[in-house]
Amino acid sequence: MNVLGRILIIALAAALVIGGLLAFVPSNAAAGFADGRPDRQLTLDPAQASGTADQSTSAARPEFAGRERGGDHHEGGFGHIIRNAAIMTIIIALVAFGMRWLRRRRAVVWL
Amino acid sequence: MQTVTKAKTGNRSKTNYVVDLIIGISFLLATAPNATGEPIHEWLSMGLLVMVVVHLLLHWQWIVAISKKLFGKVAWQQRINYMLNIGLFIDLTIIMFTGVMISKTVVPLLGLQLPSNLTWRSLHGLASDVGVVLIGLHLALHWDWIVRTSKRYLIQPIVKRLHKPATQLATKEQ
Ligand code: HEM
Ligand code: HEM
Repeated sequence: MNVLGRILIIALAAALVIGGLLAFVPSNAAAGFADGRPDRQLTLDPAQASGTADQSTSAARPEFAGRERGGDHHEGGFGHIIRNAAIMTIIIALVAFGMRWLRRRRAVVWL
Repeated sequence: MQTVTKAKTGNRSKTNYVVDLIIGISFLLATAPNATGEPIHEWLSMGLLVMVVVHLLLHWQWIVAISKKLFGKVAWQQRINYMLNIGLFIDLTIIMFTGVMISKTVVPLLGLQLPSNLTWRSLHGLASDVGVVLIGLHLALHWDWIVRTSKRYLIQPIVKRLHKPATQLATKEQ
């Protein structure tokens, strides 16, 4: 029961976050997607191919203002793991050892 | 920082260590859905969700203790820790929720069809990138504990095992 109660508190906290998210997000997201998600344009219109169309106002993908974002999911290969691990390592090196350094110099009293 | 868990037996920090290792590795894998494939991404993250709840339950005493005196007398480092942990909680919740909203494996399995919404999709990626930074900070603030516990539960057992044959020989000769 004790554990269940704690899990319930965690769930409630998560529900609060999700509620807040829902309260914020759809209001501005709905404007761009009132008619649902636009179909992807797989081929170029003749006007686009000849370069006469204004790409920035192309209606094909209004969500990107005509800019191609590069496939739906080209992100997140193995390189991503290396990249993210590297970012974490840099943060740890800077913060953990930075704190140690500050403490040794007594530069920041409350550390 | 670890006063609460320290009062418990050493086994508690071993449990913490194993859980932390699992969520750390799972999170890194989860940030690369194209490396694991999309179905594994979703199931792995669902497992991660459960493990994060376990992680929080294991630190419940700390959460209660600091919550009570957050505005009273508490070390600044703990306060920073607390803010960061709240940020982590919010971020992980956003990742999980938006993940469910764009799910192609887990949610359809339940017979549900959610309308596709690019907002959730981009928020999912963004929150995940923020998570990399926040978890990096979270680990940095616990770095001393991580080093200490790694020595105890990871390095020492390996070293011991490597030296075992020699010590066994020595005892036999005596
Ligand atoms: C939703 C995300 C998370 C939340 C809210 C969270 C919260 C907490 C809390 C409350 C504590 C104990 C209090 C403290 O000293 O700061 C803690 C400790 C710790 N967390 Fe997390 N955490 C999260 C994710 C993670 C992840 C992904 C890792 C990755 C390995 C991790 C590793 C650790 C470590 C190493 C400790 C300290 C050592 C220990 O006693 O276990 N945490 N976390
Ligand atoms: C900590 C947990 C998670 C992390 C770090 C994470 C991270 C990511 C990242 C970085 C992407 C690529 C985003 C992009 O290309 O812009 C992604 C895609 C995705 N995620 Fe997650 N995610 C997590 C949890 C979940 C969960 C719980 C679900 C669903 C149940 C989920 C479902 C998806 C789906 C469906 C995609 C799109 C994949 C595709 O299009 O091939 N994720 N996630």
